[in-house]
Amino acid sequence: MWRYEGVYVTNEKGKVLDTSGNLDQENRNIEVRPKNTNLAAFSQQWDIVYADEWKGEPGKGEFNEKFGLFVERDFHIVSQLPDNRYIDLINNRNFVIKTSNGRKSQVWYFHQQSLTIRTRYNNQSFDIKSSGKTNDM
Amino acid sequence: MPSGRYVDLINNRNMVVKTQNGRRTQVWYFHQQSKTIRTRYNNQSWDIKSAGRTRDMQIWSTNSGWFQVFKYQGEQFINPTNNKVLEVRDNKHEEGQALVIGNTKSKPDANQRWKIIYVDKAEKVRTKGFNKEFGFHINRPFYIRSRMPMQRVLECHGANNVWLKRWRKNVRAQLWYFDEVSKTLKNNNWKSHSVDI
Repeated sequence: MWRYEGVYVTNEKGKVLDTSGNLDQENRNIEVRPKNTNLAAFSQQWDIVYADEWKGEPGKGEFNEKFGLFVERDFHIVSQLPDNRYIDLINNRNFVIKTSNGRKSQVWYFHQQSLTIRTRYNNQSFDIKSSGKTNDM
Repeated sequence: MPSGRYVDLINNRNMVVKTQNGRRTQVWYFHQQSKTIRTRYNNQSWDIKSAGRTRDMQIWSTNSGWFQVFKYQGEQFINPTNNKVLEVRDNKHEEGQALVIGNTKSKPDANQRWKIIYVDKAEKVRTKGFNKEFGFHINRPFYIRSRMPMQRVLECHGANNVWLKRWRKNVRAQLWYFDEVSKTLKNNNWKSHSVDI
C-alpha cells in the first residue's frame, strides 16, 4: 500500500519510491529506499498528475515553461559582454562567441523531444565535453 | 485499534490485521454446527496453532476442538476453555501484524477489542472521490512524474518492472490509478497487478 505524502510515494514502513542510482535516464529501474529529506533529492520526488489534467507536451511554437523556451522557434544567443557577440561554432564543433554573421551556426532552437538546445547548422545539441567531465562546450 | 484494520489472512493461513481490501479473506461467518468462526475464503475455522499449545492464530480445517471455539462478548473474542482473547501481537499498530491469543484484562486495550461489521450492512466501497488517508483520487488515472529535470514518468514494463520513461501519448502502461477496494496502486495496462516491492 502506498500513500502520496507531500512529494513522496511512501509505503507502510516509511520507505519511498526512488530512481535507481539517482539518475535521470531512460529505462532506469524504480526502487524503494529510505526517505532522504534533503530537498535536493529529486530522484525520490514525484508529482501526481491526473490524466484529465495533463496538458501534454508543448508543440511547435508553444512555450515550454519549465525550460523557458519556445519549441522549435529559432533564436540567437547573445552575450551581454560589451560587444554583444553571438554564440557560434568553430570547426563546426566548438562553442565560441562571434560577431553576428547570418550563418546557421548562430541559429538555435529548443527541441522538445530531447529537451535539448540544437543548432540549425546540423541539428546537433548543446553538450558539455567528455560527458560533462570538463568545462568545455 | 486507531486505523480500524480488518482481520485477514496471509499465505492463506495465518491471521493478521490488514487494511480493508474487499477480499474474501476478510469475510467471516459463524458456523452453528461446529460452533466455530469460519472464513468465506475456504470455509476453514479460526484455530490456535498446534492444537492450542501456542499463542498464534491461523485458520485450519474445522474439528471443533476447544482451540477452535470462540465467543464474541463485550467487544472481545474469548476462548471459553482457557479464557484467553484474540489480540494484535505486541499491541503494534502495523499492516500485516500477526494475531495471537492473550490474557484477559479488566480494562482491555484496543488491540484486544473488535467490532463486527455485517457485510449486508457495511458501507459500499466508493468508486470515486478523494481518499484523504492515501492522498489519491479513486479510480482516476494519473501519471507519476519525476521531479528530476527530464520529468519522466513511471511506466510498467512487461507487467513486472517499473521504469522511468519519457511521456508518450496514449501509452496505458504509463497511467496508474488508486484502487479503493485493495487500497493499492494499479497500472492501467495491467489491471490485475498492483505496485509491489
